Amino acid sequence: MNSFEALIEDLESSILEKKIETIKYIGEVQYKEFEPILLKLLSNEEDINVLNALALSLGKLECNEAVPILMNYIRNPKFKNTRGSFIYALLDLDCREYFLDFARMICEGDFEVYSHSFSIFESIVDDVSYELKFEAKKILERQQKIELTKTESKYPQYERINYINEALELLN
Amino acid sequence: MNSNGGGGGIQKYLPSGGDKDKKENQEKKEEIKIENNISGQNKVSSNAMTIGIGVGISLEGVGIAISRYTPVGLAGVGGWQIGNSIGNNIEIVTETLAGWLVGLGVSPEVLFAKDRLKGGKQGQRDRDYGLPPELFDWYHNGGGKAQHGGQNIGSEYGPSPGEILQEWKDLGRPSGSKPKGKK
Repeated sequence: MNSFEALIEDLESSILEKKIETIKYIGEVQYKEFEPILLKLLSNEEDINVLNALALSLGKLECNEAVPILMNYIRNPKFKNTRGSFIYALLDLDCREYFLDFARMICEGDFEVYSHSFSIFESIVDDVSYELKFEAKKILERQQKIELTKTESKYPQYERINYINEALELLN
Repeated sequence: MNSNGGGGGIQKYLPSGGDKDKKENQEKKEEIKIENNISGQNKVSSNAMTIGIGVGISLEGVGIAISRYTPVGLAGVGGWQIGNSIGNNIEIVTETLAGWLVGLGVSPEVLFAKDRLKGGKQGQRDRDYGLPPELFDWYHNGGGKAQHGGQNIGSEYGPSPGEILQEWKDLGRPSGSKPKGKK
């Protein structure tokens, strides 16, 4: 059995740890040949830790075909509390098409969602149209007003308002 | 004791000499005067001025290097002057300097290459708020997230940003695979 076949076998393993390690390994060594297999797994897998590993490896492989699949997961309420790794994986991929989604995600979700969304927003803001920037500004300003009415928390350095303010600064 | 007979303050540390030396001495005095003024201000403006002067000195070197090859008299702009301006408004001076360099034929693609100027902003953000990129790298690639059941930082059932920062520090600030770059 050659190494390619051995990796395929490990990807089909029912032992989750083995499966996850193999997925991570493929991403680390940049095995582009495995992209179709990983994409298929990404569409059909259910375990969150396997999905996270798949997203990160496809990000490392710079497989832009994974973007629409990941965006579907990100929008799915089922992954509301776990979608951070999907967004983090998108940092390596071309997701300019979804610019407004990231503006919205800066305004919603948990810390991981808005901080990673901001990083993507920052990396693509110069590449989008004026119209999209205008729309994003409206979304962010609306949420900025809401955030400003809130009382300051114990840890202001982690608050959403920091990210909204800086995103608006990038749009000006 | 120098010929001016001052004798006190910084004068005794400055060499006496011709007009050129006097001019240099005057500039040094002005530099020190600026620094003395800074000490009475708040910490933020003091830091800004310190950064400004530091950048100013290095920019002076760039200016002199460029003026050797061009007729533009960048050397006439003293380092402390740039530093003073930068201390007041670092963004305006950065833009002005970028404008000069473009005028001198430096490609805007090189000057404004993606992530080049933003690198500073990223660093600034990491200092002021949020969590370090190395922590995220560990959380996603180094097993941190799996240990927390795949939950997001700050989510209903996940660790808070403060908790995960403490955990990461307690573990000796581990990294994941390699720091994640931008697109």
